Amino acid sequence: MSSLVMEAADLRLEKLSKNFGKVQAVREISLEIPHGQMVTLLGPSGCGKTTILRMIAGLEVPSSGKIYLGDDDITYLPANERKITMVFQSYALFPHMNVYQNIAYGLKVKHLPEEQIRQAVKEALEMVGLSGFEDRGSSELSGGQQQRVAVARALVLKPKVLLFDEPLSNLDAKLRNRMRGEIRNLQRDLGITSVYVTHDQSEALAISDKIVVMENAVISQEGIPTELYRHPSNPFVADFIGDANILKAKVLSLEGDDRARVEISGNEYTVFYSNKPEVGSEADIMIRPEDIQFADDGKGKTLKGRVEFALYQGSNIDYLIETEAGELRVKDYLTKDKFRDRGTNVSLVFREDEIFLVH
Amino acid sequence: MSATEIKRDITTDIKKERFVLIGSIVTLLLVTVLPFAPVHEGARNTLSTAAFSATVWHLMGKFPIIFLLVGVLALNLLFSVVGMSRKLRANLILYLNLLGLAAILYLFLVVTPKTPFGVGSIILFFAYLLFIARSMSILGYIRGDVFISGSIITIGVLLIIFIIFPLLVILGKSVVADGRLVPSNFYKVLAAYPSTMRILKNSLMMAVTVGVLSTLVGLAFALVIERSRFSLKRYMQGFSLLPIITPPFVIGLAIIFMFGRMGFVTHKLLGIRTSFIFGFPGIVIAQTLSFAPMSYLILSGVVHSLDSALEEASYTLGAGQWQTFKNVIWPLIRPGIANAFLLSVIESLADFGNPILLGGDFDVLATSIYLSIIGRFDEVLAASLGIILLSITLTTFIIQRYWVGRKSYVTITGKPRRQAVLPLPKILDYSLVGFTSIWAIFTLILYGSVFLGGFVKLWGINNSFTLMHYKRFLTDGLPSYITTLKLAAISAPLTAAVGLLIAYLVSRYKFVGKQPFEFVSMLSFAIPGTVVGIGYVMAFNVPPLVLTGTATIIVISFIFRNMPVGIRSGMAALKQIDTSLEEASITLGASNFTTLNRVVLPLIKPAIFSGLVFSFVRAMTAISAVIFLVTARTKLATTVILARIEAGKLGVATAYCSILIVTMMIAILIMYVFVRRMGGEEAAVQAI
Ligand SMILES: Nc1ncnc2c1ncn2[C@@H]1O[C@H](COP(=O)(O)OP(=O)(O)OP(=O)(O)O)[C@@H](O)[C@H]1O
Ligand SMILES: [Mg+2]
Repeated sequence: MSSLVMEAADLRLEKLSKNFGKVQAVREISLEIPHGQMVTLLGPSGCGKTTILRMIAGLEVPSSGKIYLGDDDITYLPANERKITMVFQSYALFPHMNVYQNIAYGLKVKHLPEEQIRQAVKEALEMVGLSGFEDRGSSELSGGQQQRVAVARALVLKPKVLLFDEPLSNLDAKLRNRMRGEIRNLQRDLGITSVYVTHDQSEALAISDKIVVMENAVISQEGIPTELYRHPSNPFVADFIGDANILKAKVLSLEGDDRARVEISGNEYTVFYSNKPEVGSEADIMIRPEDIQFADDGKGKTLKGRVEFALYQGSNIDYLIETEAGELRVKDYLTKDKFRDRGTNVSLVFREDEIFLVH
Repeated sequence: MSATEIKRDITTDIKKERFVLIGSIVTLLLVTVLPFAPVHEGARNTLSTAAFSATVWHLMGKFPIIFLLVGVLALNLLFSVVGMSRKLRANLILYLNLLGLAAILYLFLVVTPKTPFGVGSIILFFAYLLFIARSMSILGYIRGDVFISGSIITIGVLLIIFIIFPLLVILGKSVVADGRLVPSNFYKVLAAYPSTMRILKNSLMMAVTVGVLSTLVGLAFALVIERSRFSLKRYMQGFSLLPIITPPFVIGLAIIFMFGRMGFVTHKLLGIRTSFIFGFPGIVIAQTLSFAPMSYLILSGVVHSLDSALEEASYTLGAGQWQTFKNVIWPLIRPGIANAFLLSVIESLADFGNPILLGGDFDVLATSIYLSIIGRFDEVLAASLGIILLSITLTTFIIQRYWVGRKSYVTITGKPRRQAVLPLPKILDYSLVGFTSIWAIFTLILYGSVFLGGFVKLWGINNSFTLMHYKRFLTDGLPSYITTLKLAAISAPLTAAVGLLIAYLVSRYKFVGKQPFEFVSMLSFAIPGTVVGIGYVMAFNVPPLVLTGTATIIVISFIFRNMPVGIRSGMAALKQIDTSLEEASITLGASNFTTLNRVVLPLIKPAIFSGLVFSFVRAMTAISAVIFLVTARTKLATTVILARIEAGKLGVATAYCSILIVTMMIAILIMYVFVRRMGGEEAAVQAI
């Protein structure tokens, strides 16, 4: 393990843009990826995540902007001289080589001595838990094993930056969860600067030091996972990360420098905001489904409604409830033994701390 | 922002520019040493080293431009070792070598227009090109490293020289008179020649008839082999493909043996003496036999990829067999049929061997071009006829490529196909099986007759056994046989390599001019061999490039004529390979060349194999273009066979043909083993 500790560097993107003909895939993105951290690019399909990754790898030339690795400007450096490796969505294992040859490929290309290559490959295989698989053909591996070989192949070169393009999207849900943990642990243990692309928000929340949410070729918001989840700065991020109910509220007054007094369907709440609202204006507030509870006793700031549908999930029950403030999604963990069927009249209360003014 | 300013531009390195440095040293050494090397093929052609000394050292005193040529190399050396930013260096080297290129062209085209390029000058020319390519790849004009940019530029220049230039020369011959552009000259020449209209009519009639027939025969074979219940159909495939590896005159000879004046069928069985076979009927039979395999290959792909679920869906929706055929199957295979038809038309028009052998009075364009050069020494007439032929094949090619090619519905989804295919309707099945069996037996008899023809004294007159023809071959044919083998063996790997490289560049890289690059490289399929032949003779007989009379020009003609097969199979194979494999290799630190070598090539072995086989076979069997390029010292098998036939020595010709067929089979086997050794056992099987 020790010999594989990476010479990680920090990576900086500066006003990076990429046009494909008329399509602007990436527009003036600036981003800092600190030394040894795992930064995730998260966003819907087509928002430009892969394009950014490919520009970092050197597989695509930016239309404008700069890329710095440590102190070096690498914007136009050829991909094969960058010391940045990548784990592909399709794994891209060479089908005509076995596991050993796949992992050794980058070292062979560098003409390292055979003995050193053997040692490095052995360590890399140990690290991903595939010792003894050297002679397997790459098509004789399960999806998860192929994934590990791809990771080992990228790691064995001790890259300065490791890139992942939706590496887990071809795996089934259980394995995906497990591999998330393995990748995250490896990345932390080796302290390797990483950029991870995914459109799966739970994956992003689980493994990132920092999440960058993208929408239509630009960054919508960046931050650490808990901050993004609790305090999204706009409805798009709120909705994209986790489930969110977005409601209209009226801003009554400001309190301190990060809270506002708002009115929602006749009830008044004090809520956090990130962008200062105007007093008297209409604003969007966000509340997560798990932060709405049933108030069967009718106490507190209740909101009346009727169950539209109820889906039993095991760990909880998902409801859609029609209220005067609009349709609300509710995840009920607390009283999941009590199933409220379609048409039942209910009262809801919000956990006031978790209401967030998003616009 | 201030943090940005202190960042170092990594591209400002003081590392030397190794490629240009070493390249310039090697070039300098070569152009200095070459004049003293022994002289090879005759003194006055481009390849002789003597021509180099004539053009460079000898001219040294007279033309200061020579100093410029060498000076460019010296400055290259300087720029590649002095420390400066990568970008500045690349720009300097780019403009410097553009200057060198301009100078060398100026020297040969303007200063000494009567002196051909020599080896040294060619080396200089390509060295400049490669240095330009290197700087262009650094400057980002072409994605990829110097291997990619160098290949694109070099191949681009070669395409211009060996495909575009000869065509322009032909065009020039027919529309330029007394140094002036006279487009009407073209009509005047053709109007003055009495048979123009007849030849044109003959050619079109022949091409359309053969197009229809070979498409139908190909379709029958495709349906039987893909969809019939008939269990022996597997063996049918072999027979149906045999004509592909057959020298051009074999089928013609066989038809003469069967239906000629002394023919087995006409004379022996029917007891008549007739020459009816010479002319339209003979050509049509021979060409249909020759080109049906190609249309079978096209159509079997189409029929194979018909998803039986579509037919089943049609039946479940209440359509009968005929309605299903009309509304579902026919629209799906129609583009394939059009494809097969158009390609057969091109092949038929371009064919030289069958018409020259069986044509009799039935002149067609390809043979008339040959005869107007060989018989009438009329280059202008040949050029004008060539332009007519070329415009017909080119139009057909463009229709095929851009109109029909686009409409093809055949897609490979990668989804597992249902195992069982729906069999054909019974009546259709039986009649098709009957027809194809007769056709296969007919083919077999024809080939058998050629084989036998080599062992009888005089076909139809004295049928006693003899080895005389084979003995004659040893004295008459052996030298040309060896030359042919040698040239085919040299050109096959080169052709396959160039073809695959073009396929790789076109399917993996974006660059300015990519569309014309691809079009021109596929174009040679549509240029009839006779047109290439006269084009090469006219273009490379005079400076700046004098190549006629050399074996090199024959190899070059093989490469550029047979390249499209390699390109097509390469592109098809590359389409199956996920580009992320190559990207993975690059991010792991490999260069473009290493990636091609270690990742791409091993994965496209079947395409390499088929590229090799086709180029070898086509080089062995080429006749139409090379007949203009051979000399006494570079006789080829096919031209010798033609000469024997014209001299009435059918026995020797037949023996020679049999030997060629056997040779090709052995060669294919060797290549098969070789490619298999490279590791791709499955791949090799697949390719066959
Ligand atoms: N080579 C290309 N040529 C033309 N357009 C491209 C190319 N590559 C990407 N694009 C376009 O750029 C935009 C961003 O693509 P990109 O692959 O970066 O999206 P993504 O965020 O990775 O999406 P996904 O989650 O679906 O992978 C898309 O509109 C896409 O169509
Ligand atoms: Mg993507």
